[in-house]
Amino acid sequence: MQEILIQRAKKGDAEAFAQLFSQFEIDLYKMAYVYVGNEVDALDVVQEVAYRSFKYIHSLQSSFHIKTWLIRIAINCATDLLKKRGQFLPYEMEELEQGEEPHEELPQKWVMEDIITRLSKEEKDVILLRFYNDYTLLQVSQALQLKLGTTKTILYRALKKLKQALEQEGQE
Amino acid sequence: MSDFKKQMDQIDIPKSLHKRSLQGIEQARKEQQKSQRWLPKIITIAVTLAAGGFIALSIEQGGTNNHQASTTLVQEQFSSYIYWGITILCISIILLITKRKIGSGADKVKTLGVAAVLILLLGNSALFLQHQLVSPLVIPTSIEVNKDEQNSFEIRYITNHNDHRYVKFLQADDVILPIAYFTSKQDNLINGFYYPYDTYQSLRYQYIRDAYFQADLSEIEKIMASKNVYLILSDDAKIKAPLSLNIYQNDKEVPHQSFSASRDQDEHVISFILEQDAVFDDFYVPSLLENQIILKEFIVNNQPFTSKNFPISFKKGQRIELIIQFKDSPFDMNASVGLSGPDGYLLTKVFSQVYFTESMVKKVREMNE
Repeated sequence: MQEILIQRAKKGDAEAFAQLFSQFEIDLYKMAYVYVGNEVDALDVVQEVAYRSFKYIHSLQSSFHIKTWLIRIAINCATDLLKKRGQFLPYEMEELEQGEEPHEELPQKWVMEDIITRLSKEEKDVILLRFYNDYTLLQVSQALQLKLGTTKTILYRALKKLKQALEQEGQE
Repeated sequence: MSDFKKQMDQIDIPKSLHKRSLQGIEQARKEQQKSQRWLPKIITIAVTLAAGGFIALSIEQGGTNNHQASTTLVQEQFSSYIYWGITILCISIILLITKRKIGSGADKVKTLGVAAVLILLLGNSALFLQHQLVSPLVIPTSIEVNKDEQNSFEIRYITNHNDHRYVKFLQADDVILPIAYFTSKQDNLINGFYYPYDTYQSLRYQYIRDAYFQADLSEIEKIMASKNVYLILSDDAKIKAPLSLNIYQNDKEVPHQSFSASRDQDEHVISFILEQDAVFDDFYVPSLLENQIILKEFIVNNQPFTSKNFPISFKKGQRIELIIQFKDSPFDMNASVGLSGPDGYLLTKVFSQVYFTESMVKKVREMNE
Protein backbone atom coordinates (compact mmCIF):
# COMPACT_ATOMS: atom_id res chain seq x y z
CA MET A 1 0.00 0.00 0.00
CA GLN A 2 2.79 2.36 1.02
CA GLU A 3 4.60 1.54 -2.21
CA ILE A 4 1.51 2.43 -4.28
CA LEU A 5 1.06 5.72 -2.41
CA ILE A 6 4.70 6.60 -3.03
CA GLN A 7 4.41 5.84 -6.75
CA ARG A 8 1.25 7.96 -7.00
CA ALA A 9 2.90 10.77 -5.04
CA LYS A 10 5.89 10.66 -7.39
CA LYS A 11 3.45 11.27 -10.24
CA GLY A 12 2.21 14.39 -8.43
CA ASP A 13 -0.79 12.97 -6.58
CA ALA A 14 -1.04 15.24 -3.54
CA GLU A 15 -3.85 13.26 -1.94
CA ALA A 16 -1.82 10.07 -2.03
CA PHE A 17 1.10 11.87 -0.46
CA ALA A 18 -1.12 13.38 2.25
CA GLN A 19 -2.34 9.88 3.06
CA LEU A 20 1.25 8.64 3.19
CA PHE A 21 2.52 11.56 5.23
CA SER A 22 -0.26 11.22 7.78
CA GLN A 23 1.27 7.87 8.81
CA PHE A 24 4.41 9.65 9.97
CA GLU A 25 3.32 13.14 10.97
CA ILE A 26 2.86 12.45 14.69
CA ASP A 27 6.31 10.89 15.07
CA LEU A 28 7.79 13.73 13.03
CA TYR A 29 6.03 16.29 15.20
CA LYS A 30 7.35 14.70 18.40
CA MET A 31 10.87 14.64 17.03
CA ALA A 32 10.55 18.24 15.91
CA TYR A 33 9.28 19.17 19.36
CA VAL A 34 12.37 17.66 20.95
CA TYR A 35 14.55 19.82 18.72
CA VAL A 36 12.74 23.11 18.92
CA GLY A 37 11.09 22.77 22.33
CA ASN A 38 7.74 24.41 21.58
CA GLU A 39 4.53 23.65 19.75
CA VAL A 40 4.52 26.56 17.33
CA ASP A 41 7.99 25.87 15.97
CA ALA A 42 7.41 22.11 15.90
CA LEU A 43 4.32 22.65 13.74
CA ASP A 44 6.34 24.91 11.45
CA VAL A 45 8.94 22.15 11.13
CA VAL A 46 6.30 19.54 10.26
CA GLN A 47 4.75 21.82 7.65
CA GLU A 48 8.18 22.41 6.15
CA VAL A 49 8.89 18.65 6.15
CA ALA A 50 5.59 18.05 4.34
CA TYR A 51 6.47 20.74 1.80
CA ARG A 52 10.04 19.56 1.13
CA SER A 53 9.22 15.87 1.11
CA PHE A 54 6.41 16.23 -1.46
CA LYS A 55 8.55 18.54 -3.57
CA TYR A 56 11.45 16.10 -3.66
CA ILE A 57 9.54 12.81 -3.45
CA HIS A 58 10.89 11.92 -6.94
CA SER A 59 14.38 11.69 -5.44
CA LEU A 60 13.36 8.95 -3.00
CA GLN A 61 15.17 5.86 -4.23
CA SER A 62 13.41 3.13 -2.30
CA SER A 63 10.07 3.05 -0.52
CA PHE A 64 11.69 1.05 2.30
CA HIS A 65 13.59 4.15 3.33
CA ILE A 66 10.62 6.52 3.48
CA LYS A 67 10.67 6.85 7.26
CA THR A 68 14.42 7.43 7.50
CA TRP A 69 14.16 9.86 4.62
CA LEU A 70 11.41 11.85 6.33
CA ILE A 71 13.33 11.83 9.62
CA ARG A 72 16.39 13.22 7.83
CA ILE A 73 14.29 15.98 6.32
CA ALA A 74 12.80 16.72 9.74
CA ILE A 75 16.28 16.95 11.27
CA ASN A 76 17.37 19.32 8.48
CA CYS A 77 14.25 21.48 8.84
CA ALA A 78 14.70 21.68 12.60
CA THR A 79 18.37 22.59 12.13
CA ASP A 80 17.44 25.33 9.65
CA LEU A 81 14.88 26.74 12.06
CA LEU A 82 17.35 26.71 14.95
CA LYS A 83 19.95 28.41 12.77
CA LYS A 84 17.42 31.04 11.81
CA ARG A 85 16.69 31.64 15.49
CA GLY A 86 20.41 31.69 16.33
CA GLN A 87 19.98 28.71 18.62
CA PHE A 88 22.18 26.34 16.70
CA LEU A 89 25.65 25.66 18.04
CA PRO A 90 28.04 23.54 16.02
CA TYR A 91 28.86 20.32 17.79
CA GLU A 92 32.40 20.04 19.11
CA MET A 93 33.49 16.49 18.75
CA GLU A 94 35.33 15.11 21.72
CA GLU A 95 36.82 11.67 21.57
CA LEU A 96 35.92 9.21 24.29
CA GLU A 97 38.56 8.92 26.95
CA GLN A 98 40.39 5.62 27.16
CA GLY A 99 38.48 3.04 29.13
CA GLU A 100 35.37 5.19 29.14
CA GLU A 101 32.54 2.82 28.21
CA PRO A 102 29.26 4.13 29.58
CA HIS A 103 26.13 2.01 29.36
CA GLU A 104 24.29 2.36 26.17
CA GLU A 105 21.04 2.86 27.96
CA LEU A 106 19.14 5.92 29.01
CA PRO A 107 19.14 6.67 32.73
CA GLN A 108 16.11 5.15 34.40
CA LYS A 109 14.90 8.45 35.68
CA TRP A 110 15.20 11.42 33.42
CA VAL A 111 13.11 14.22 32.19
CA MET A 112 12.26 15.23 28.65
CA GLU A 113 13.20 18.78 29.58
CA ASP A 114 16.85 17.69 29.92
CA ILE A 115 16.90 16.27 26.44
CA ILE A 116 15.36 19.40 25.02
CA THR A 117 17.52 21.89 26.87
CA ARG A 118 20.81 20.20 27.61
CA LEU A 119 21.57 18.17 24.49
CA SER A 120 23.02 19.55 21.31
CA LYS A 121 21.23 19.03 18.02
CA GLU A 122 23.57 16.14 17.05
CA GLU A 123 23.03 14.45 20.39
CA LYS A 124 19.28 14.75 19.98
CA ASP A 125 19.61 13.20 16.50
CA VAL A 126 21.30 10.13 17.90
CA ILE A 127 19.14 9.79 21.03
CA LEU A 128 15.89 10.11 19.09
CA LEU A 129 16.87 7.63 16.41
CA ARG A 130 18.32 5.16 18.87
CA PHE A 131 15.72 5.23 21.64
CA TYR A 132 12.58 6.62 20.03
CA ASN A 133 12.80 5.03 16.60
CA ASP A 134 14.65 1.93 17.86
CA TYR A 135 17.42 2.15 15.29
CA THR A 136 20.60 0.20 15.88
CA LEU A 137 23.78 2.22 16.20
CA LEU A 138 24.74 1.17 12.69
CA GLN A 139 21.38 2.33 11.33
CA VAL A 140 21.72 5.60 13.23
CA SER A 141 25.15 6.19 11.73
CA GLN A 142 23.83 5.40 8.24
CA ALA A 143 20.77 7.63 8.65
CA LEU A 144 22.88 10.54 9.86
CA GLN A 145 25.72 9.75 7.44
CA LEU A 146 28.23 9.57 10.25
CA LYS A 147 30.98 7.11 11.03
CA LEU A 148 29.96 4.44 13.51
CA GLY A 149 32.67 5.55 15.93
CA THR A 150 31.50 9.15 15.75
CA THR A 151 27.90 8.06 16.33
CA LYS A 152 28.98 6.10 19.42
CA THR A 153 30.93 9.07 20.70
CA ILE A 154 27.92 11.37 20.29
CA LEU A 155 25.62 8.84 21.95
CA TYR A 156 27.89 8.31 24.95
CA ARG A 157 28.41 12.02 25.33
CA ALA A 158 24.66 12.57 25.31
CA LEU A 159 24.08 9.85 27.89
CA LYS A 160 26.81 11.29 30.08
CA LYS A 161 25.19 14.73 29.93
CA LEU A 162 21.81 13.31 30.89
CA LYS A 163 23.34 11.44 33.87
CA GLN A 164 25.11 14.57 35.02
CA ALA A 165 21.85 16.48 34.74
CA LEU A 166 20.08 13.85 36.85
CA GLU A 167 22.82 13.97 39.48
CA GLN A 168 22.58 17.75 39.67
CA GLU A 169 18.82 17.58 39.99
CA GLY A 170 19.22 14.90 42.73
CA GLN A 171 21.57 17.14 44.72
CA GLU A 172 19.12 20.02 44.48
CA MET B 1 7.81 0.40 26.36
CA SER B 2 10.82 2.34 27.59
CA ASP B 3 10.49 5.39 29.75
CA PHE B 4 11.78 7.50 26.91
CA LYS B 5 8.99 6.43 24.60
CA LYS B 6 6.43 6.96 27.34
CA GLN B 7 7.67 10.49 27.82
CA MET B 8 7.65 11.07 24.08
CA ASP B 9 4.07 9.83 23.94
CA GLN B 10 3.15 12.38 26.54
CA ILE B 11 3.98 15.20 24.14
CA ASP B 12 0.64 16.76 23.25
CA ILE B 13 -0.30 16.52 19.62
CA PRO B 14 -1.93 19.74 18.46
CA LYS B 15 -5.20 19.41 16.58
CA SER B 16 -3.87 21.50 13.76
CA LEU B 17 -1.01 19.06 13.02
CA HIS B 18 -2.66 17.32 10.08
CA LYS B 19 -3.89 20.63 8.71
CA ARG B 20 -0.34 22.00 8.80
CA SER B 21 0.94 18.91 6.99
CA LEU B 22 -1.68 19.46 4.30
CA GLN B 23 -0.68 23.11 4.03
CA GLY B 24 2.93 22.09 3.34
CA ILE B 25 1.83 19.54 0.73
CA GLU B 26 -0.50 22.08 -0.91
CA GLN B 27 2.30 24.63 -1.10
CA ALA B 28 4.58 22.11 -2.86
CA ARG B 29 1.75 21.08 -5.20
CA LYS B 30 1.12 24.69 -6.24
CA GLU B 31 4.82 25.21 -6.95
CA GLN B 32 4.92 22.05 -9.04
CA GLN B 33 1.96 23.21 -11.10
CA LYS B 34 3.59 26.59 -11.52
CA SER B 35 6.82 25.03 -12.76
CA GLN B 36 4.85 22.70 -15.04
CA ARG B 37 2.98 25.67 -16.49
CA TRP B 38 6.29 27.33 -17.27
CA LEU B 39 7.89 24.25 -18.78
CA PRO B 40 5.96 24.26 -22.09
CA LYS B 41 6.62 28.01 -22.46
CA ILE B 42 10.31 27.57 -21.89
CA ILE B 43 10.40 24.66 -24.33
CA THR B 44 8.51 26.64 -26.97
CA ILE B 45 10.77 29.68 -26.62
CA ALA B 46 13.95 27.58 -26.65
CA VAL B 47 12.91 25.51 -29.65
CA THR B 48 11.75 28.61 -31.53
CA LEU B 49 15.02 30.37 -30.83
CA ALA B 50 17.07 27.32 -31.82
CA ALA B 51 15.07 26.81 -35.00
CA GLY B 52 15.11 30.55 -35.82
CA GLY B 53 18.85 30.78 -35.33
CA PHE B 54 19.34 27.67 -37.37
CA ILE B 55 17.28 28.98 -40.30
CA ALA B 56 18.83 32.46 -40.11
CA LEU B 57 22.33 31.03 -40.23
CA SER B 58 21.40 28.68 -43.06
CA ILE B 59 20.00 31.52 -45.16
CA GLU B 60 23.06 33.60 -44.46
CA GLN B 61 25.29 30.72 -45.54
CA GLY B 62 23.34 30.12 -48.72
CA GLY B 63 23.14 33.77 -49.64
CA THR B 64 26.77 34.65 -49.08
CA ASN B 65 27.99 36.15 -52.31
CA ASN B 66 31.43 36.37 -53.68
CA HIS B 67 32.11 39.88 -52.44
CA GLN B 68 31.95 38.50 -48.95
CA ALA B 69 33.48 35.18 -49.89
CA SER B 70 37.11 36.16 -49.78
CA THR B 71 36.75 37.47 -46.24
CA THR B 72 34.54 34.67 -45.10
CA LEU B 73 36.78 32.01 -46.56
CA VAL B 74 39.58 33.13 -44.31
CA GLN B 75 37.23 32.90 -41.37
CA GLU B 76 35.79 29.57 -42.42
CA GLN B 77 38.04 27.36 -40.33
CA PHE B 78 37.54 29.69 -37.38
CA SER B 79 33.78 29.66 -37.90
CA SER B 80 33.52 25.92 -37.39
CA TYR B 81 35.18 26.39 -33.99
CA ILE B 82 32.72 29.19 -33.24
CA TYR B 83 29.76 26.95 -34.14
CA TRP B 84 30.97 24.23 -31.83
CA GLY B 85 31.94 26.72 -29.13
CA ILE B 86 28.44 28.22 -29.15
CA THR B 87 26.93 24.73 -29.24
CA ILE B 88 28.94 23.55 -26.26
CA LEU B 89 28.02 26.72 -24.36
CA CYS B 90 24.32 26.23 -25.16
CA ILE B 91 24.49 22.55 -24.19
CA SER B 92 26.12 23.50 -20.89
CA ILE B 93 23.32 26.01 -20.23
CA ILE B 94 20.68 23.41 -21.13
CA LEU B 95 22.29 20.88 -18.77
CA LEU B 96 22.45 23.47 -16.01
CA ILE B 97 18.79 24.43 -16.46
CA THR B 98 17.82 20.75 -16.62
CA LYS B 99 19.65 20.03 -13.38
CA ARG B 100 17.95 22.97 -11.68
CA LYS B 101 14.52 22.05 -13.00
CA ILE B 102 14.89 18.47 -11.78
CA GLY B 103 16.21 19.78 -8.48
CA SER B 104 13.16 21.99 -8.10
CA GLY B 105 10.81 19.07 -8.60
CA ALA B 106 10.06 19.16 -12.34
CA ASP B 107 9.16 15.86 -13.99
CA LYS B 108 12.50 14.09 -14.47
CA VAL B 109 11.62 12.11 -17.61
CA LYS B 110 9.98 15.06 -19.40
CA THR B 111 12.76 17.48 -18.50
CA LEU B 112 15.48 15.07 -19.60
CA GLY B 113 13.54 14.38 -22.80
CA VAL B 114 13.30 18.06 -23.62
CA ALA B 115 16.98 18.56 -22.84
CA ALA B 116 17.91 15.64 -25.10
CA VAL B 117 15.82 17.03 -27.97
CA LEU B 118 17.38 20.49 -27.60
CA ILE B 119 20.89 19.08 -27.44
CA LEU B 120 20.25 17.00 -30.56
CA LEU B 121 18.84 20.08 -32.35
CA LEU B 122 21.86 22.17 -31.42
CA GLY B 123 24.36 19.45 -32.31
CA ASN B 124 22.63 18.89 -35.63
CA SER B 125 22.63 22.62 -36.39
CA ALA B 126 26.34 22.93 -35.59
CA LEU B 127 27.10 19.88 -37.73
CA PHE B 128 25.04 21.32 -40.58
CA LEU B 129 26.71 24.73 -40.41
CA GLN B 130 30.16 23.19 -40.14
CA HIS B 131 29.60 21.38 -43.43
CA GLN B 132 28.26 24.38 -45.32
CA LEU B 133 30.42 25.92 -48.03
CA VAL B 134 30.82 29.68 -47.97
CA SER B 135 30.67 29.69 -51.76
CA PRO B 136 30.67 27.00 -54.45
CA LEU B 137 34.00 25.30 -55.07
CA VAL B 138 35.42 24.24 -58.41
CA ILE B 139 37.22 20.91 -58.71
CA PRO B 140 40.76 21.47 -60.10
CA THR B 141 40.59 20.34 -63.70
CA SER B 142 43.14 19.50 -66.37
CA ILE B 143 41.83 19.20 -69.91
CA GLU B 144 43.57 18.52 -73.16
CA VAL B 145 41.92 19.92 -76.25
CA ASN B 146 42.54 19.31 -79.92
CA LYS B 147 43.77 21.81 -82.44
CA ASP B 148 40.27 21.68 -83.95
CA GLU B 149 38.38 24.91 -84.36
CA GLN B 150 35.72 23.97 -81.75
CA ASN B 151 36.34 22.19 -78.48
CA SER B 152 34.04 21.46 -75.60
CA PHE B 153 34.99 20.77 -72.01
CA GLU B 154 33.37 20.13 -68.68
CA ILE B 155 34.07 21.65 -65.27
CA ARG B 156 32.54 20.29 -62.09
CA TYR B 157 31.71 22.42 -59.08
CA ILE B 158 30.34 21.74 -55.62
CA THR B 159 27.41 23.66 -54.14
CA ASN B 160 25.42 23.47 -50.93
CA HIS B 161 21.99 21.88 -51.24
CA ASN B 162 20.36 25.19 -50.37
CA ASP B 163 22.43 27.19 -52.86
CA HIS B 164 20.14 27.56 -55.89
CA ARG B 165 22.53 29.61 -57.96
CA TYR B 166 23.91 28.22 -61.21
CA VAL B 167 26.86 28.98 -63.48
CA LYS B 168 26.12 31.49 -66.22
CA PHE B 169 29.50 31.68 -67.92
CA LEU B 170 33.25 31.22 -67.66
CA GLN B 171 35.39 34.32 -67.64
CA ALA B 172 39.13 34.55 -68.30
CA ASP B 173 40.22 38.17 -68.64
CA ASP B 174 38.31 39.38 -71.71
CA VAL B 175 37.13 35.92 -72.79
CA ILE B 176 33.58 35.06 -71.83
CA LEU B 177 32.24 31.57 -72.53
CA PRO B 178 28.51 31.12 -71.89
CA ILE B 179 27.52 27.80 -70.36
CA ALA B 180 26.46 25.34 -73.10
CA TYR B 181 22.95 24.94 -71.71
CA PHE B 182 20.60 26.58 -69.27
CA THR B 183 18.07 24.86 -67.12
CA SER B 184 14.83 26.52 -66.22
CA LYS B 185 13.66 26.58 -62.64
CA GLN B 186 11.06 24.01 -63.61
CA ASP B 187 13.78 21.61 -64.81
CA ASN B 188 15.38 21.75 -61.41
CA LEU B 189 12.36 20.40 -59.60
CA ILE B 190 11.85 16.72 -58.95
CA ASN B 191 8.58 15.87 -57.22
CA GLY B 192 8.37 19.51 -56.25
CA PHE B 193 11.77 19.50 -54.55
CA TYR B 194 14.78 21.41 -55.77
CA TYR B 195 17.27 19.08 -57.44
CA PRO B 196 19.43 20.75 -60.08
CA TYR B 197 19.14 19.15 -63.49
CA ASP B 198 22.91 19.26 -63.98
CA THR B 199 23.63 17.48 -60.71
CA TYR B 200 26.22 14.84 -61.16
CA GLN B 201 25.96 13.38 -57.71
CA SER B 202 24.56 14.31 -54.32
CA LEU B 203 25.96 14.03 -50.83
CA ARG B 204 24.33 14.79 -47.53
CA TYR B 205 25.09 18.51 -47.66
CA GLN B 206 26.28 19.22 -51.20
CA TYR B 207 25.67 18.60 -54.88
CA ILE B 208 28.37 18.27 -57.46
CA ARG B 209 27.22 19.91 -60.66
CA ASP B 210 28.48 20.06 -64.24
CA ALA B 211 29.15 23.12 -66.35
CA TYR B 212 29.79 22.55 -70.09
CA PHE B 213 31.53 25.07 -72.29
CA GLN B 214 32.46 25.34 -75.94
CA ALA B 215 35.44 27.35 -77.15
CA ASP B 216 37.37 27.90 -80.34
CA LEU B 217 41.14 27.64 -80.51
CA SER B 218 41.79 31.34 -80.02
CA GLU B 219 39.61 31.38 -76.88
CA ILE B 220 41.34 28.25 -75.62
CA GLU B 221 44.72 29.93 -76.08
CA LYS B 222 43.54 33.03 -74.20
CA ILE B 223 42.22 30.93 -71.34
CA MET B 224 45.51 29.05 -71.25
CA ALA B 225 47.37 32.33 -70.96
CA SER B 226 45.06 33.78 -68.31
CA LYS B 227 45.70 33.50 -64.60
CA ASN B 228 42.23 34.78 -63.71
CA VAL B 229 39.76 32.10 -64.70
CA TYR B 230 36.40 32.34 -62.94
CA LEU B 231 32.98 30.82 -63.12
CA ILE B 232 30.32 33.53 -62.94
CA LEU B 233 27.17 32.55 -61.08
CA SER B 234 23.59 33.58 -61.74
CA ASP B 235 23.86 36.33 -59.09
CA ASP B 236 27.10 37.56 -60.73
CA ALA B 237 29.25 36.13 -57.95
CA LYS B 238 32.67 34.97 -59.14
CA ILE B 239 34.27 31.73 -58.06
CA LYS B 240 37.86 30.87 -58.83
CA ALA B 241 38.24 28.06 -61.36
CA PRO B 242 41.54 26.16 -61.15
CA LEU B 243 41.53 25.09 -64.79
CA SER B 244 44.46 23.95 -66.87
CA LEU B 245 44.03 23.56 -70.62
CA ASN B 246 46.67 22.28 -72.99
CA ILE B 247 46.64 21.49 -76.68
CA TYR B 248 47.25 17.93 -77.78
CA GLN B 249 50.36 17.56 -79.98
CA ASN B 250 49.53 14.51 -82.07
CA ASP B 251 52.06 14.98 -84.85
CA LYS B 252 54.89 13.36 -82.91
CA GLU B 253 53.09 10.25 -81.76
CA VAL B 254 54.69 6.80 -82.13
CA PRO B 255 52.17 4.47 -83.82
CA HIS B 256 50.57 2.12 -81.33
CA GLN B 257 47.38 0.60 -80.02
CA SER B 258 46.35 1.51 -76.49
CA PHE B 259 43.87 0.50 -73.82
CA SER B 260 43.34 2.02 -70.43
CA ALA B 261 41.44 0.96 -67.35
CA SER B 262 41.24 2.20 -63.80
CA ARG B 263 42.37 -0.33 -61.26
CA ASP B 264 40.90 1.57 -58.33
CA GLN B 265 40.35 5.17 -57.27
CA ASP B 266 44.06 5.84 -57.04
CA GLU B 267 45.56 3.70 -59.77
CA HIS B 268 45.18 3.47 -63.50
CA VAL B 269 46.65 0.87 -65.89
CA ILE B 270 47.42 1.84 -69.49
CA SER B 271 48.47 -0.77 -72.04
CA PHE B 272 50.28 -0.01 -75.28
CA ILE B 273 51.24 -2.33 -78.16
CA LEU B 274 53.95 -0.72 -80.26
CA GLU B 275 53.67 -0.75 -84.04
CA GLN B 276 57.32 0.25 -84.55
CA ASP B 277 60.60 0.15 -82.63
CA ALA B 278 61.10 3.18 -80.36
CA VAL B 279 63.21 4.53 -77.49
CA PHE B 280 61.56 6.31 -74.53
CA ASP B 281 63.37 8.16 -71.78
CA ASP B 282 60.66 9.86 -69.69
CA PHE B 283 57.15 9.68 -68.30
CA TYR B 284 54.81 12.27 -69.80
CA VAL B 285 51.90 14.04 -68.04
CA PRO B 286 50.38 17.51 -68.60
CA SER B 287 52.24 20.16 -66.63
CA LEU B 288 49.38 20.80 -64.13
CA LEU B 289 49.40 17.14 -63.19
CA GLU B 290 53.13 16.64 -62.85
CA ASN B 291 52.93 16.51 -59.09
CA GLN B 292 49.56 14.77 -59.04
CA ILE B 293 50.27 11.71 -61.17
CA ILE B 294 53.33 9.53 -60.84
CA LEU B 295 54.51 6.51 -62.79
CA LYS B 296 54.48 3.73 -60.25
CA GLU B 297 56.01 1.13 -62.59
CA PHE B 298 55.75 -0.26 -66.09
CA ILE B 299 55.75 -3.84 -67.17
CA VAL B 300 57.33 -5.20 -70.33
CA ASN B 301 57.41 -8.97 -71.01
CA ASN B 302 56.19 -9.54 -67.43
CA GLN B 303 59.23 -7.69 -66.13
CA PRO B 304 58.63 -4.63 -63.94
CA PHE B 305 60.58 -1.40 -64.52
CA THR B 306 60.56 2.02 -62.93
CA SER B 307 61.53 5.53 -64.11
CA LYS B 308 65.07 4.80 -62.95
CA ASN B 309 65.44 2.30 -65.81
CA PHE B 310 65.01 4.98 -68.52
CA PRO B 311 66.01 5.17 -71.34
CA ILE B 312 64.62 1.88 -72.66
CA SER B 313 64.44 0.61 -76.20
CA PHE B 314 61.24 -1.17 -77.18
CA LYS B 315 60.57 -3.44 -80.13
CA LYS B 316 57.64 -3.44 -82.50
CA GLY B 317 54.76 -5.61 -81.17
CA GLN B 318 55.91 -5.37 -77.55
CA ARG B 319 53.22 -4.78 -74.93
CA ILE B 320 53.94 -2.07 -72.34
CA GLU B 321 51.75 -1.68 -69.28
CA LEU B 322 52.03 1.61 -67.40
CA ILE B 323 50.73 1.69 -63.85
CA ILE B 324 50.12 5.28 -62.88
CA GLN B 325 49.18 6.50 -59.49
CA PHE B 326 47.00 9.49 -58.58
CA LYS B 327 48.11 11.40 -55.56
CA ASP B 328 45.80 12.35 -52.73
CA SER B 329 44.79 15.80 -54.01
CA PRO B 330 41.43 15.82 -55.79
CA PHE B 331 41.26 16.76 -59.49
CA ASP B 332 39.45 15.90 -62.70
CA MET B 333 41.38 15.15 -65.84
CA ASN B 334 40.78 14.44 -69.47
CA ALA B 335 44.33 14.51 -70.82
CA SER B 336 47.05 12.42 -72.41
CA VAL B 337 49.47 10.42 -70.35
CA GLY B 338 52.27 8.13 -71.53
CA LEU B 339 55.95 8.03 -72.42
CA SER B 340 58.17 10.39 -74.36
CA GLY B 341 61.50 9.98 -76.06
CA PRO B 342 63.58 10.90 -79.09
CA ASP B 343 61.25 8.97 -81.42
CA GLY B 344 58.13 10.85 -80.23
CA TYR B 345 55.28 10.32 -77.75
CA LEU B 346 53.46 7.18 -76.73
CA LEU B 347 50.25 8.61 -75.35
CA THR B 348 46.68 7.76 -74.51
CA LYS B 349 43.91 9.92 -73.14
CA VAL B 350 43.00 9.28 -69.53
CA PHE B 351 39.62 10.44 -68.36
CA SER B 352 39.38 10.49 -64.61
CA GLN B 353 36.99 12.21 -62.25
CA VAL B 354 37.60 12.30 -58.55
CA TYR B 355 35.01 10.45 -56.49
CA PHE B 356 32.53 12.77 -54.82
CA THR B 357 32.85 11.98 -51.15
CA GLU B 358 32.80 14.06 -47.98
CA SER B 359 36.56 13.67 -47.62
CA MET B 360 36.96 14.96 -51.18
CA VAL B 361 34.83 18.03 -50.34
CA LYS B 362 37.00 18.57 -47.29
CA LYS B 363 40.17 18.39 -49.37
CA VAL B 364 38.84 20.81 -52.00
CA ARG B 365 37.87 23.19 -49.18
CA GLU B 366 41.36 22.95 -47.71
CA MET B 367 42.90 23.67 -51.11
CA ASN B 368 40.76 26.81 -51.36
CA GLU B 369 41.65 28.11 -47.92
